[in-house]
Amino acid sequence: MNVAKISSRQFTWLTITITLATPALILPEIVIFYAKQSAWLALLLGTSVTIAVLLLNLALARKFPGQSLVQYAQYLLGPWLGKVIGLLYALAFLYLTAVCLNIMSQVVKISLLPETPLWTFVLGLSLFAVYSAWLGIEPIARANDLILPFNLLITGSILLLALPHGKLYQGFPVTQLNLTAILKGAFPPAACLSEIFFILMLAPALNKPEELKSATLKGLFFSGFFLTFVTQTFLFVLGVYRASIYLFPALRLSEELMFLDIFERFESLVLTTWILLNALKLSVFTYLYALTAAQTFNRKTYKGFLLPALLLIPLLALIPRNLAEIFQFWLNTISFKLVLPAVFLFLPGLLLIIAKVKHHA
Amino acid sequence: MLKRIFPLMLIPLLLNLSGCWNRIEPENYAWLTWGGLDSAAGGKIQVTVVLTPPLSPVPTGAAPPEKLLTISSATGDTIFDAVREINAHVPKRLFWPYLHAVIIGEDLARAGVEQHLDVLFRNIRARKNAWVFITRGSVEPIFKVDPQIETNPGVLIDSLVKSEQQFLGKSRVLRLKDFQTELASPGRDPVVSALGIWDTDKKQILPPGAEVPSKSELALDGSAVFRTDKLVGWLSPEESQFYLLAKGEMKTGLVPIPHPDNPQNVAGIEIVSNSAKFKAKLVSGEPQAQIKIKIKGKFGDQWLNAPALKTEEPTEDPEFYRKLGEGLEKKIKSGVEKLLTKAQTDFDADIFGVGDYIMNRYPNDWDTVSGNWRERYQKTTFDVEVKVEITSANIMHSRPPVMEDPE
Repeated sequence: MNVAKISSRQFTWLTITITLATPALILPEIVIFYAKQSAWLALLLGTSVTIAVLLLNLALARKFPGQSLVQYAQYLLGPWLGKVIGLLYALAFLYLTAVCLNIMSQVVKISLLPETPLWTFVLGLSLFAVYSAWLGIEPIARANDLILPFNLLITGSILLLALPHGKLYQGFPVTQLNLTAILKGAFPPAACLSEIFFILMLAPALNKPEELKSATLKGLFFSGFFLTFVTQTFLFVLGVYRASIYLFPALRLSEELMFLDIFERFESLVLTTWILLNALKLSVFTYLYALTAAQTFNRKTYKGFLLPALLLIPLLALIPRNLAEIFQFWLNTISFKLVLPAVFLFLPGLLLIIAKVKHHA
Repeated sequence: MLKRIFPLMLIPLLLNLSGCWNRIEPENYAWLTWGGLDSAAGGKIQVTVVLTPPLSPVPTGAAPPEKLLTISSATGDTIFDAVREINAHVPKRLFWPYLHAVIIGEDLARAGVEQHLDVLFRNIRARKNAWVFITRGSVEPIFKVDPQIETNPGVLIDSLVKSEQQFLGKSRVLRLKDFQTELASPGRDPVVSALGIWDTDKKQILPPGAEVPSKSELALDGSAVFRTDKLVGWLSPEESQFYLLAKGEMKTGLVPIPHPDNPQNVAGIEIVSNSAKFKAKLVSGEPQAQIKIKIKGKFGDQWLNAPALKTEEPTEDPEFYRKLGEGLEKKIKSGVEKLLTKAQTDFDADIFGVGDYIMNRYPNDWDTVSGNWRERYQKTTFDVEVKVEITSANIMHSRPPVMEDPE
């Protein structure tokens, strides 16, 4: 199949967008809840765990340059088992898209447009995602080139503006560590950042396959450090209690930020950047779902799989009816404990072992 | 074919752009500028709100509405319930994002406020940057004041707070968000500004329960001290000044001290900047706190009742500046120490957040003492250190020159 090519810089920026998109708003609160002042430690620990697993994935990808996971899974496991794995990956992409879409819609509904029904966001955004997936990865990457730097600039400047409002002792790293709390706090970031498993499918799109490792690692490092900076800023400005009792501390911080005693309520700005990043993530995941499905069934073009997605994504995304369901069951239980470990750790690990065995045999 | 149909399917996306779903026209709004909370009979909550019609932020040429201040009140089981009850007689949608002040009555404050304020913290519409005030006695008289200098109630509270911060420095004004933080922390008890009424004719703060005279203004009247979330006592304006100085929150203000040349005279020091460093730790289970206050001041004025020292040389005396600083250091040190003793014995309230500091900096130590923190707090030893730097005597010599006797 002819896959569009993107440069390694674009690849890095896409990894940043996807790993940063959803966690930026929902992750800090959870980490601070567990790890309190040691949130930075929990985040760095989570990032390093993800990097370790990512190296395993990269080792697998390096063995088959220019091929995607579905293609070499069929080579390694035979056509039938390989197809099952391909299908699993396609469903994982679909599921993660739906979860992200639901979280996006609910956050916008809760914080900005409380009286608008959920389906308007869900339908509009799935149309957007499917349309950009239809255009292919190259336009998405180019859109990302435009959106990501502006978003980081806006987020960074708002956080810097908020820093003088903080109290130093609230967020300063402490020497007395609570190790169980830090370990508990390290799990959500590790799980969130695991969404970087998409590189297994996107690797063939890179125009220089030998730069895959550096491009991915750069992206993940940046995301990890940026999340740490964001979380620690919340601690400085809001304090442990407020940063962990509010669901979206980023919105709280930007809403209360007072600039020159005149400008207030920057939360729409922050929410806009967050929605833009997530819309890009939705597009990439929808594209990858279709690509995975097409490669599994050996189709020439992935576009035929996009029309069912137009139906499946909103249907899936409309199932969780409230915030508790999406966070507790869909995200925390299924996504973090089932889907992401499977597609990021177990399946690639299995494939790597088989590849090694086959290589030696 | 599909390629042509697909872009057409994007047309519904345009619906999002109009943004008309939650559309509410400005004239349907009533801006809620102050909210007053007090307890009512039967364990209920009474909410009084000041409503203003929507005003244009830019001059439009149209005359502003004559009546800027409309007062409504209702009672309910919770604050939200009471606010909804207000809509029984107010035919407008209450608009919370311009909330400027939350005023809490003494009865409610003494019974505990945290559980009642939940809706203000939880609701996205309520402004968390609003100021919090406590009144002596009922909250009702506050709403009967007919302000003369500044008629717009929203601007009134803001300018009152600004003038407090910039010139007075005798009341601890606090935003709702900070109030929430301080209420929530088990190792910190909030100190909140007290709002009173100034009787223009009698030239005094109106005592609680008195009839509100026709000529009156809102006034800040010291601060209220909480223990957990219950009001336990009041700080006088002077005590509030020491509190603010010790917290490093005072921007400017004037502190009179005995004149260094002759203690019968008075020298006023104008405080230009103030910062404070607070540190606390547990030393073998006993909390120790350290407060370092840094002040920059100017020689503001002097009141020469008794004969004063005069100068024969046109020079400024560094020794005099040093003595001025020392006098202020002594006054602030004794004032802060008195305040600390009062907080420890009378109020039993951790107003400087010793526990909060230990909880944040030494979490494991905090776990060992959090069970009986109150007892430990009473045994806390404080070490107060004040450093004053007098920069100038404004535009005059600090001592008057010796004049020739006419005789």
